[in-house]
Amino acid sequence: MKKFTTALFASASLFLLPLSAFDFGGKIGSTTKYQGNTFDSLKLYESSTNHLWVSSLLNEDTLLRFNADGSYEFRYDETDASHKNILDLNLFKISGTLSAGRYTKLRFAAGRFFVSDVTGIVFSQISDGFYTKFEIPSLSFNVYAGTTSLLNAHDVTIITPETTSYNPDFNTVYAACPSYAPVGISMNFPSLFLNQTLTAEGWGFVDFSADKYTRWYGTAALSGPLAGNMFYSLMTTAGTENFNTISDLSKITVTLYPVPAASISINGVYASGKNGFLSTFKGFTSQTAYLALSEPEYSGIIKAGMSGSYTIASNVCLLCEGVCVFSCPDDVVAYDGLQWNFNAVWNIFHDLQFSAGAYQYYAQNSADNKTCFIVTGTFVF
Amino acid sequence: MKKIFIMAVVFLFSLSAFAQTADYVTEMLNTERADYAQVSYLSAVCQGLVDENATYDTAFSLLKKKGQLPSGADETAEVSLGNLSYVMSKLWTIHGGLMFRLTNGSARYAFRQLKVDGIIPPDADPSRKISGTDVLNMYIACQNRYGSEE
Repeated sequence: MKKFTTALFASASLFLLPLSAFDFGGKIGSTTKYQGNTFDSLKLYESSTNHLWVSSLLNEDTLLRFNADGSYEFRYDETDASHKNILDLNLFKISGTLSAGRYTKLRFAAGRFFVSDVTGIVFSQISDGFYTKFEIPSLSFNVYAGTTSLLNAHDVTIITPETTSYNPDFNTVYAACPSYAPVGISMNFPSLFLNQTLTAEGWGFVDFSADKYTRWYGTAALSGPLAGNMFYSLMTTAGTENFNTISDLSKITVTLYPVPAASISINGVYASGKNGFLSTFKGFTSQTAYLALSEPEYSGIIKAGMSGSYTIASNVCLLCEGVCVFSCPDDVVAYDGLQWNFNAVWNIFHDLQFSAGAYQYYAQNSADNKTCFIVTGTFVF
Repeated sequence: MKKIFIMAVVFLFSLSAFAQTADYVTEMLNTERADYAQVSYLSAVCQGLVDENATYDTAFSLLKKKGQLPSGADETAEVSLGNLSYVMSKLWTIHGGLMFRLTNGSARYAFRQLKVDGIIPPDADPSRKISGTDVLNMYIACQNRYGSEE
């Protein structure tokens, strides 16, 4: 064991010695919530997070860079009087850029880093893998391949089938995620016509477990300016589970910047239920679609909302949002509820931030009502 | 960008009005790795601590005495981007972040502050050695950003 430890330190030293250009830092954050079904039943939720990061430029010509970020988090939830201590490695990446001429670039990255699909709904999480992007002014082509089996399930929740063989021990500081291999390709045509950007993307999540819950998605997205300070993005995704079903996720956003300090946005999302020939849409990364107590996924819902932001004195940002939700698990579309959300963020300094907010969801079924007050603080050093 | 370019031209013309500083600018434009002596001269002249006929030695000693150079700085040693940030931050009143204030503008947080303020690119490395042109560009960018606040 001693020999192994010595060898491990020696190899780590060999790796770290060339890291002459070395930078490091950290972040301390706290989130306190009082949340519950009604005002009388609000419970405390506390999360305290500490991050440490290192960064090193290994080669200036190829911009070869090493980045890592590790975190410790303490979580307490009064609802079930549970607490958790969570250790995670959020980033462990070697990246670089090879240039051929001024405009042709090949970017690459390997290790653990954040990956998202163009919708931000299907796949949006950290992942272990390899990424490469070929870039010329009129086109970029991206490829990603990775694995999820080494991720910490405390921080990343992957949607599994209702009858899953995946059964992690959440009492440990590190609970491994289910084993999938995410693979994705993406083609992006910036400024295709009138400054519009077209993106075509395909993602697959191959299940290596006994669940055999492999999912495939294809997305087409168009975005760009409409007129003046108004911009839009429009995207639709077709999904399938083992090529046996077909489902749809569509999303539209129109954003107006009336003055530089303000934005107004209207948006709509449709995630299919069993609607006509479509099956129920299921993404890959678990995400809360709206603020109901049951924390529902993007599945069998129609969501229409409006949001706005305004920045005061360059360091206080006010954000508000109103959303109307309809459920469509089958061919009947029914009103589900209404949510509002308000948040004020104060950047006291660029390295010290404080925010306070509140939101409520008024559900058609009052058991799904939710009220939440949130206070957060972040200090970067 | 246009504004920065105009500032650069004005700066170079104003410096070139004096023979000594014109020579300095020419030297800096031809310097692949700037050293503390060159950076000290720029700082001391811009602060009016010495006139443009002063030697690099005088400028370096004066800045060292005033604590405007990082500890351990050697006159002939090459300056890193992080330490140049420290020297530059002493030229203006910078209303920086909490850590910048708590550490009295240490090199580490001066570098961070200049990144946040858009003087230095977000992915820049503090230990990168810099050219004479980089020093002049950084001075102009700082003057543009902080000069108007004073």
